Amino acid sequence: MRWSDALRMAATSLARHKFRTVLTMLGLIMGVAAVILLSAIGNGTELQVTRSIETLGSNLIFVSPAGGTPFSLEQAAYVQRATPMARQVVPVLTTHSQVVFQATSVTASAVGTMGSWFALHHVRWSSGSAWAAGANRLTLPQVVLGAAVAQELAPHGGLVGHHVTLLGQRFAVAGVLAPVGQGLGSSQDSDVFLPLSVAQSLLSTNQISQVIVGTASPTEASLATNLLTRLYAKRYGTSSAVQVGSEDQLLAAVSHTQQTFTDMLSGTALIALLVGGIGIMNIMLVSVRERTREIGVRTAVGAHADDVVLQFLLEAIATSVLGGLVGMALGVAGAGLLARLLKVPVVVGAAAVFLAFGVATLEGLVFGLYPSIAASRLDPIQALHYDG
Amino acid sequence: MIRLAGVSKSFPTGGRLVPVLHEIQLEIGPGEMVALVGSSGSGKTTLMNILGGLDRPTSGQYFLDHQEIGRLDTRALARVRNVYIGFVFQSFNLVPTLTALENVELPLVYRGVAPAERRRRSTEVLERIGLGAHQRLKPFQLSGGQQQRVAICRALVGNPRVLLADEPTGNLDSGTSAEVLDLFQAIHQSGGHTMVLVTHDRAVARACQRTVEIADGHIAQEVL
Ligand SMILES: Nc1ncnc2c1ncn2[C@@H]1O[C@H](COP(=O)(O)OP(=O)(O)OP(=O)(O)O)[C@@H](O)[C@H]1O
Ligand SMILES: [Mg+2]
Repeated sequence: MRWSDALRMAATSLARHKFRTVLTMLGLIMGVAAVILLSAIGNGTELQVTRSIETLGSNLIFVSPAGGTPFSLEQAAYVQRATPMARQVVPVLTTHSQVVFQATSVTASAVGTMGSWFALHHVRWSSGSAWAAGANRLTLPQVVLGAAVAQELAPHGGLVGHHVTLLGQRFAVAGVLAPVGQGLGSSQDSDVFLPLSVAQSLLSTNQISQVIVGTASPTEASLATNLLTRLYAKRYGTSSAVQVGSEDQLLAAVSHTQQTFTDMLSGTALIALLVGGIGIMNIMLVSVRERTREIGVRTAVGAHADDVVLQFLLEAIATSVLGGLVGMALGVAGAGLLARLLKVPVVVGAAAVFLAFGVATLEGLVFGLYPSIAASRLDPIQALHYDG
Repeated sequence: MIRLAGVSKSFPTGGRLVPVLHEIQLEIGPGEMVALVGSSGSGKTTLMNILGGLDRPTSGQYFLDHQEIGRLDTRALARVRNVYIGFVFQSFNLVPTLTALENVELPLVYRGVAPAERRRRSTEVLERIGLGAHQRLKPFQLSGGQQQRVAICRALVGNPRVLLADEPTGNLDSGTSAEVLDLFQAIHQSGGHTMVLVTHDRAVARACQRTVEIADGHIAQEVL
């Protein structure tokens, strides 16, 4: 038999039972689409998280106390002295507070820091600017609001110049940050920033939570990390008194977690895809039973068992390839739609597309094989007398 | 053309082998038209299936054109069915989803003949048999007689040396039977095929040159 005839036979058979063909393919279509879509969402989220961590500032390292180690501004000075590659050293004191504006209130992370924090993190301003130098007198301290906080307090904007209350103190709003988007965990969108000295006096402490160090390059950041780790281990006699971590390490950890998450999502979809293949086997068995007599006739006029296998196998593969293609189109289109509608970042990965399509195609082969071989093993004499 | 040397056939039934054909000796020359008669259950269909390469003897040898069929592998046997033999069944056995033309084309499909050539040859045979106008119809749109004539076209299209028919008029009324029978005679006269027809019908038997009777799996009597 010619290949072209075998292919035409498969196509006619599928076209004859359009509804059945579509039903058979449905499992595959949804499976393929799900693998593509879910992995695209996973990739997108990963990208977003990585990006939002990068917007924390580039080439940063973070020095924070652990296990009750005293940590005051003196530490910032120490880091500044000890680390030649430190370009900027910014102390931070973090707490949580209600932020009240007129009748509205919202809970935010209150970050007490220096004005240099904003430069270090390359922030963009929605309105206003950082607090003026010397404005950190308790009489009229100034505050900078993250985008989400500002949005909650005053959906129509215009907060700059107005007064908000946090930590029991009235502040003048100096500026509002542009939104950066939600990554994993918190982002500066839900932070409020106030001068460190104000924060310390409101909390009656001279401690700080963290020192952020800005360097010129990732290489310098990693050099500084090693250096500080060694210095602190020597200073406190233990490596666990002060934690020193670079942004790179954080990125790697988060992106690893995110990758696991993406793999899990795609894996689940892949199982659904496999289950879809069983539908092919089911329908092929029905098809073979229905056409028992036809198989007998074909054998009687000269079909070999291989011709019969080919006929049914091509039908199964055609079903799965078609289902795979439709699923692919649906998955890619769905990803585009989702990105536009929900403003969720999606990244359709070529690997996921090929994997899903490949698995679907392979399923036609694998699940079509048994029914096809069963068809070819029919005794022609019995098949010719089969009454189905 | 056809030679059976001690062909026996048994079927496993209820855990044991039940013999159906016993040491059949039979020779049919090229171009002969033979009627195979016998009572129901005597083994006619069993013998025809062996002649048609659909089944193999349990023992003994079947020579078709000096080739021993029992020794062929499945691929060669499929080729013998395709090239040497045209088989007509009592119940027509057309593929219901294919048109008359496509049904006739089937043997040529498995011979690897190109579509255009296939179509040309099939149309020619259908026209010769007076079904030219019906070639686009599906079997359910045809009468029993027409269906059987389509089946005969399918048996003829590959120009086989041997034409086998197992009660080809068994499902037809007497008028239609006569037409189909005339057709077989016309084919025999023009094409010179070696033909074996199973029949219960005396008239059919009389129309053949030679009648072989089978009883209980033995060749009982040759009527010359
Ligand atoms: N596959 C089989 N398994 C078991 N027994 C079989 C099988 N095929 C045929 N037989 C038996 O062989 C015997 C001959 O059957 P066969 O069909 O050859 O008879 P026949 O002469 O064609 O009869 P009819 O004129 O009714 O068609 C019967 O007794 C039948 O039961
Ligand atoms: Mg019979």
